[in-house]
Amino acid sequence: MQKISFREALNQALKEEMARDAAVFLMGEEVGEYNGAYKVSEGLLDQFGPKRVIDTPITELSFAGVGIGAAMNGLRPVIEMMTFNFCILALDQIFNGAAKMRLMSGGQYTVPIVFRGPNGAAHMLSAQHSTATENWFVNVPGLKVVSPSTPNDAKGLLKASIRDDDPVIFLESELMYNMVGEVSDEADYVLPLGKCHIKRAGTDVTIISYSKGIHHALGAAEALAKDGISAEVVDLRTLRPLDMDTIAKSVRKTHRVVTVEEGTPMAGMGAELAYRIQHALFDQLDAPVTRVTSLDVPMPYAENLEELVQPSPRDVVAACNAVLYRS
Amino acid sequence: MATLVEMPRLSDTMVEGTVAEWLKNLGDMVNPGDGLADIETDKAIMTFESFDEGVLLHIFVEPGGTVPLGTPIAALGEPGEDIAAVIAEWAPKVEAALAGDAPAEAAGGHAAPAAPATPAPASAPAPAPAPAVAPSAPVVTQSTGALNAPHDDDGRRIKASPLARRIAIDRGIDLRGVAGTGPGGRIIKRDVEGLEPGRQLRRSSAARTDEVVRVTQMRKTIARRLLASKQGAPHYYLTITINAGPLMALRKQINAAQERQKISYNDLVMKACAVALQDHPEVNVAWEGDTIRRFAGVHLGFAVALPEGLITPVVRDADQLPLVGMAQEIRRLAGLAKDMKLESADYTGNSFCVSNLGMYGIEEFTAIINPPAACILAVGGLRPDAVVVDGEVLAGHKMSMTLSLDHRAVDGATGAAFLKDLKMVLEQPLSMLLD
Repeated sequence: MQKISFREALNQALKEEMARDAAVFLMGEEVGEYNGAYKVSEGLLDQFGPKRVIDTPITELSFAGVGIGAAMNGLRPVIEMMTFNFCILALDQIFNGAAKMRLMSGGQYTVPIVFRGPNGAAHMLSAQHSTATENWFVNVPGLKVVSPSTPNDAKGLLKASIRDDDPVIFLESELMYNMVGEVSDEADYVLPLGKCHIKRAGTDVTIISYSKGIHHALGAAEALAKDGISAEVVDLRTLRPLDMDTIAKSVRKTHRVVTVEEGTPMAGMGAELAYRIQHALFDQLDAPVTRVTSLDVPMPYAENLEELVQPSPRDVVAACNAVLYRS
Repeated sequence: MATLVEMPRLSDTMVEGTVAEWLKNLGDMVNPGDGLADIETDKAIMTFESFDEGVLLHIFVEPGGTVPLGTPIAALGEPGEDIAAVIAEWAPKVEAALAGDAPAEAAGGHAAPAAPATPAPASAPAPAPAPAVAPSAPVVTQSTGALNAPHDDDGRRIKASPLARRIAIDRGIDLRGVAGTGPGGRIIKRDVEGLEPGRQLRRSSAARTDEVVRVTQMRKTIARRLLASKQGAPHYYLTITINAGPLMALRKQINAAQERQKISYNDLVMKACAVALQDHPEVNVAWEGDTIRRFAGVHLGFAVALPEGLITPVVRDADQLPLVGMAQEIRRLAGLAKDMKLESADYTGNSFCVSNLGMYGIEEFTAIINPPAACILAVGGLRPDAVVVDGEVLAGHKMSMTLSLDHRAVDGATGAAFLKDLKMVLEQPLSMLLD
């Protein structure tokens, strides 16, 4: 196993897919000459040249649209959004173009495109650059939404996303780009979309999360283990479509669920999970499904408040204790 | 403007009522407090005093008619008022309610929640809609539905997690007696998982009340007939025990040799009775007072236990049926009995009867004679026991059976001679395949 960072894992995925398939190209702000705002595209311009690694102006709506057009005409674009906070400008192209083209053309067009970049808060970027946007995208039929939590998953899932024939929203995290982890050495390592992954097996409570939240969940599980509580951590990996089979299996075992997400509470991922779980597994529940989310406010700039607003492992432990009826 | 008079709630537990008698005639003036009708509830007949005022213009439910609470039973109004439209609207709904279909709740719905005409045992833990009127005490049922009713005996909602409720239903635990340790006293998994079924009922803090179960027509019939038999027929009893080894071996061979119908020990015992009775027509009889009827054929009754009570279908001319054919006929009749589809010809006129409790591990018992037959054979279970073969004690199997006889029709020696032959057939069972 190689031990590499999250950014290197993404870089490997891009490099391998661009080498494998000449239709794959990368486009976005600063992806070429600057080697990427977060250095994810490091070395790609040198290796593949300016026709396949394209720097754009600061025009998210436009280059999203150019990418969609390219995808409809047989290419496989990867569009880097410097952050998904900027991607908000491009939502018309993504929601009304990419997501709906297959249906509106009666299946004559598919849009094999990946929009990728960091999502959610980083560190003291204030209200306008700290939004976790995943629940907006999962609300749109026609899109797939992927959000990896480890370097290994990032590599395998990005390769799968590039190969998928439908538009994929691939949500990374600025704070995780430097995270180092073991990554498969397999020559062509691809993970399936639409499948959860049990990050830690347990019997007393199921913690469901994704991306950064998985690390809060694993931290909480470790703390609970010291108290003799066995928590199972389910990594969604793909947020849409949801792998309810794996979730149901876990809930049937533990009878208690805590969801963890970085976003604000209303109509978030945890709300959807709580609905689906209570509806399909009502008789299995010994406690109400409980959510851990950000507080319901725009992200403050002050460091102490920023920390207060976001979920922490301590919040996850408290939620687990609540569903376990431990005081 | 006509006023609809609805079937009133005259007892806490009634879900329907029967009009016993109208105390006013059509055209009579009714004042509030006047006795309007006698209503038979689940407990008693009570006089229903009118809440309303007016002339009794129409009666929807005649004496004897049973309808759910809230169903219109009559209409009051001004003298001479034309209420044809009201009658046209409600009469079909009341007819449906009388027929046991959906209850016709009067407009406004201020009556009881719709309840089925008969309180069917609710096996589902249905979270019943909160009654608009008084919370009805659980209707007597033998299912777990009542045990897990969402309300306790004082009408308060029982708080339990869905999982705890599921566990309670699966194990037959009465949540009313369980102390919840979750927030606000919620019953959670840990409160129920260690409990034993049924025991919580006795620990219930709620007041304990006896269940009073109304006697069904079927049970009334059973009570009348068995009492008449036991009091009227001088019973005596003869018991035999057979070495069941040969019967077991034969059953094994028969079931290995054919797949048309698996043969049970009860089938073999019934067949043996049919064979032995052919040589003992003086046992295959009925006492008729001045005469004794010797039946031309062997009509074998056999007892089938149903939740509602006991019934004894009759295999006609069992002496003319081969073993497999008889077993098939037994299955057919038992199936009809379980579906409550027997016609009276299917369960009357037995000339001899068999009752078997062997499957419950009963070694031997005595049965009450099932008229018109003068004899009934009570069959016990197959049991491992020591048997003596050629002077040696061997491990084997035995089976005991006791014949109840009506001494008016069959004397002891006659009955004993029959049992001797029956034992011989059962211990040399190939003989029952010969005819």
